[in-house]
Amino acid sequence: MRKAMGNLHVATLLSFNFWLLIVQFQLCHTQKIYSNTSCIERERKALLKFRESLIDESHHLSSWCGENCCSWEGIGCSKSNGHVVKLDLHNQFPFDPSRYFYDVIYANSYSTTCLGGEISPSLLELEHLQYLDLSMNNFSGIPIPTFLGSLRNLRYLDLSSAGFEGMVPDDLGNLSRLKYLHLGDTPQGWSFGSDFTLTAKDLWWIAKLSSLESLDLSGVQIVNKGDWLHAVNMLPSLLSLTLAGCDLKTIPPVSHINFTSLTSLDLKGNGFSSPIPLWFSNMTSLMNLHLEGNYFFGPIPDSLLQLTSLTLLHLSSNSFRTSLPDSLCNLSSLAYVDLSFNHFQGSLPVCLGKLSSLTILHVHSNEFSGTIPTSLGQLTKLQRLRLADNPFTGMLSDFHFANLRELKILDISSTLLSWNVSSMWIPPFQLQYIHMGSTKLGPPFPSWLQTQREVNTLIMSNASISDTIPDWFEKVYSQIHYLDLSTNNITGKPPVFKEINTFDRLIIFYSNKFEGSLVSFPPNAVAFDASRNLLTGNIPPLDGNSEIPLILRYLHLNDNQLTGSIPDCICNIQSLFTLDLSNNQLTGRVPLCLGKLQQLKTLNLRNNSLSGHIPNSLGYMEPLVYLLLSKNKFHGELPWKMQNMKNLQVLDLGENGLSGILPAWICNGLSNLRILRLQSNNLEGNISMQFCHLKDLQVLNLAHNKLEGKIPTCFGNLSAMVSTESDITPFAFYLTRHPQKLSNFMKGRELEYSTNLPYLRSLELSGNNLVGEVPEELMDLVGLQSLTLSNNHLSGRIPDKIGNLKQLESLDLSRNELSGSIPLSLSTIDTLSYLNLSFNNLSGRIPTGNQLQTLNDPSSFEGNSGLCGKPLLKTCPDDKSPDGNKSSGRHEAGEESYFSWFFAGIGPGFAVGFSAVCGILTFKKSWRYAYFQFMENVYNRLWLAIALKTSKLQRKFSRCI
Amino acid sequence: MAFPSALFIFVLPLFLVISPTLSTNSEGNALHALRSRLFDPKNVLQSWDPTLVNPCTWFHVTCDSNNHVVRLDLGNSNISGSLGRELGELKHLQYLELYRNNIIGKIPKELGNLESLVSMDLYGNKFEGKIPKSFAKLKSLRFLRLNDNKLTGSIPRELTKLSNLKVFDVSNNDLCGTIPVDGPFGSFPMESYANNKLKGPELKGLVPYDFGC
Repeated sequence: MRKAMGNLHVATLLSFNFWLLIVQFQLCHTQKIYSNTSCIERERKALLKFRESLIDESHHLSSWCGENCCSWEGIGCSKSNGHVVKLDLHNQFPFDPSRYFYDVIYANSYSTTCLGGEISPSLLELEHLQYLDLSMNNFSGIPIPTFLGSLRNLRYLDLSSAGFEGMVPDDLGNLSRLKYLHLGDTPQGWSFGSDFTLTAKDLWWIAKLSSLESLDLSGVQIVNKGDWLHAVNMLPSLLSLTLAGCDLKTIPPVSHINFTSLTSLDLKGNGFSSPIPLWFSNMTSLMNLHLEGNYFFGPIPDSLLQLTSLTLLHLSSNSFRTSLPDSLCNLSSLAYVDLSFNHFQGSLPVCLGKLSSLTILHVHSNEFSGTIPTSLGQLTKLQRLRLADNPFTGMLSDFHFANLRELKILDISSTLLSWNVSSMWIPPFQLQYIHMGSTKLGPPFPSWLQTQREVNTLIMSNASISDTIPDWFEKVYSQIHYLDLSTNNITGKPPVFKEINTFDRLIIFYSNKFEGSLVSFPPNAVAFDASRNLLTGNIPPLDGNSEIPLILRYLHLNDNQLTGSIPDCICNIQSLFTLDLSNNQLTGRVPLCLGKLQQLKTLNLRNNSLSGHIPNSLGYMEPLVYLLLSKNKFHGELPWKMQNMKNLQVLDLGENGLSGILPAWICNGLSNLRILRLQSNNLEGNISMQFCHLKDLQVLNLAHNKLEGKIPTCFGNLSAMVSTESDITPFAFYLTRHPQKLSNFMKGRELEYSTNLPYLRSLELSGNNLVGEVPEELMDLVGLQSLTLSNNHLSGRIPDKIGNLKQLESLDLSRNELSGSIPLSLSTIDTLSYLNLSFNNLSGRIPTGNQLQTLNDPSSFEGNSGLCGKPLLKTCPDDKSPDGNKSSGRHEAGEESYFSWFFAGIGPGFAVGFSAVCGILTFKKSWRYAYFQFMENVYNRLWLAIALKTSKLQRKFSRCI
Repeated sequence: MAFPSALFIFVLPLFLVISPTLSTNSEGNALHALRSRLFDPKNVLQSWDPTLVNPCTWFHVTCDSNNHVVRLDLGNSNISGSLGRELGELKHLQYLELYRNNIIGKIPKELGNLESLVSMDLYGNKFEGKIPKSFAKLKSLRFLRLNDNKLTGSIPRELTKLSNLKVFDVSNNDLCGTIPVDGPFGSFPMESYANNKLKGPELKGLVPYDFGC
């Protein structure tokens, strides 16, 4: 939404420069309303003195020259006596809080337009001053001057969002003529993010301002807040009350309220946790009500539903868990209704269609259900309709939109709604923002979209569309700002986009079936994601137009069928953060110039047919965090320049033809590595002790090389593998649009990890020429999920402490020269689901236990001539019987075994012997009852006797053994 | 805005592409549904990300080469909560290892749909209710350990059809009736039945199997 709003006000730097020009032009030429009156000298001097102590970077006050101070910028004089009555120095530069916080350039531009410095007491010379406005400036944390309380004639005082800090002086309570007092912070937004906070010890000083009509103390922290309402209640003339973000916590009970003329009440963001108080019904003139960002609960009270003047009702982000009453529709003046982010239930009242003034209806992110009333189609003034993220069901038909001529924003995403409009439907509206993601929109591509010529945002991800992209799409949507068609089954050629003037263009259509070649990259996009399609041909050249700055940050063309080489022009996109070309059929060398991409964090060229050396210039990409080049045809040595890549966390060079000695510099230079994969190359030499310095290393794969020597005992110091912490730093996936995938050999097969990668801890050294013992120290790596040392020449015993590896799911020690018995502790690993100890020289009984008894594949143990016991067929010499099906996953069996199987044979005997009796019993009811009574007694006695005897016998028997 | 309505009469033909059956992640969904029922104080299920195409990289889950879930290993994991019918979706499951946890409630009869199951270890939990008769459909089952729970009712006679059953343990429950003697039940040791209210072996034709229930 922020994105959309950003689009709606495309106020760029250009407009700022333009504004500055106007200001400069106005220097000393300002025409002010009271300019005819001449100015009183004493006041002129006071004003100049006042200016002296101000900081005025952008020269707002350069018109303050000449004799007639009444004509100066921001000054107003009385017509009757010539005294200065008005001083209006509020910053006129348009303030956009969301831009201020996210757009550094805008924030800087804004800051220079602010006045700062000190407030000179010379202001007191302006005895007749009625109007003082210093709002939207930045006085960098100076306190509100106490002497302002002496400007007795003040009627209007606005110091809001001006960077004042500290205690609000009680003296302001002396300004008894004051009608307007605004000291609050960021009136537009409600993230009170300013660096400067005002504090008031209580609100009783306000009680003296009995003429006050408008009060805004947003963001002012009130120390003694318990009786805030009683203080405010002393202001009977109040028309507008804004106490947003004051952290008031509770609404104290009052018997009656005096401010019954109130038209605007804003109590958002105060942490109120109660039902809406009943006295609200007395504010009969109330038009605007902001209660968002609290914890109000309970029903929407009747007191609220009587406020027939209400035009704005903002209840967003509260704890309402109720349904909407029909009486809501009696509030016929309502124009703005926001109920979003609550737990509202039930269906939308049909009568909502009667609210003919409604322009904004936000009910998203609730638990509303049922169908959407068609009466909404009668809301002729409706501009914004957001139904998203509710389990609404049923169809949306053209009736729902019949008269919505003014609609600009439509959001039905994450609902269960589907569309039932004809392919000929011509909607009455021209939308700017359409969000229909995660709904059932398809299979056909919605054809009504071709009538929408003003759309800047169209989101239709995961919308079950299985269709060819229509020909009109490119014509109608080539200038779109934000397009998301991801995760559908859209076929056809990828659309081509035209240049637009924006800095936040996103073009996303991953996971579809677009085919053919890409003609060009979308101009001035920040992100372009065409991954997981069926695209063929070459990577397109960049447009020759060098006028447009390249601002592309995320380029995802992975998982397509692109061919040819990586063009050198990619190096010109120096804004790139992420370049993902993995899983294509690219050939040729990596462009040497790639080192120019100095912002790049992720480079993924995995699984192509790239060849040649890995260029040394990659070493200059210092910010790089992920470097994935595996499954290509690279050869030669690892470029030593790579040791400069200090930020590298993932280095994946596996499955290439790299050769030479396994370099130890990896460990010194790349000290932040979390994942290192060099498997299936031709690397030689020993595993350096230096590897043990990689404290963050959680996946190490050196398998299938030509490494020699012993496994360093210091591997036990790989602290990331020792950790069993479950709260692991996630990979910085925000750097990419998709989590990067990496495969890991585990449980006897290759598994592709993506979002689970941060949790993975794995050590794989198989398929080398390693000798010596399995170091005891490896058993300290208790975080390991996978340990694979197969296909080496390891000898000695399996360490007894193997049972320490409690997280282990996969253990493969096969095809070594290990001897001795399998440690009993292996049976204590409850997570183990893959075990391979085959083809060693192990001997003795295979241990059993909870989890081991489920790993009953004999092939896990084959090729060890000395092993015996289950699951192998070979029994151990000391086994009682080959059929000893002992279930070991249970407590000790009860000592008293009631009977023996011997007696089970009696059953059939009885059956035969008494079959004749049974015949009679079947037909004679009274005999039957009597007989069974008798039988039960006999049976019970028999059973008891047998049981006693058996247990005696058994005890005797077991003693003999 | 004027848009020639004639154009709409010739709206470009929309090809209704019949999408090939998408390999939906039904097994992942089933496991995710299971997760939502369970309380997991040791966070052993944190890697269960439902947005992944399959659950094969989730810890404690093992797949075969066709990415079907064949093992669920959650023994001794300190999990509590109950099981739901969704587990029956894991058609390829061979090992269901949920032993020694604090799982409560009934054993879902849908577990009888796990036709590939080789081993079902539910021992050491707080399961109650009856042993589902549907287990008779588990033709490949070799290990069935239900001991140390609070199961009631009788041992379903239908289980005698499980010709591959090698280990059967229902000790330390509250079962009643008699013990079957047919099929594989002829060879299980008595310890498998200890500490129940079982009344001894079935005397066919004389005593109904739910005798004493």
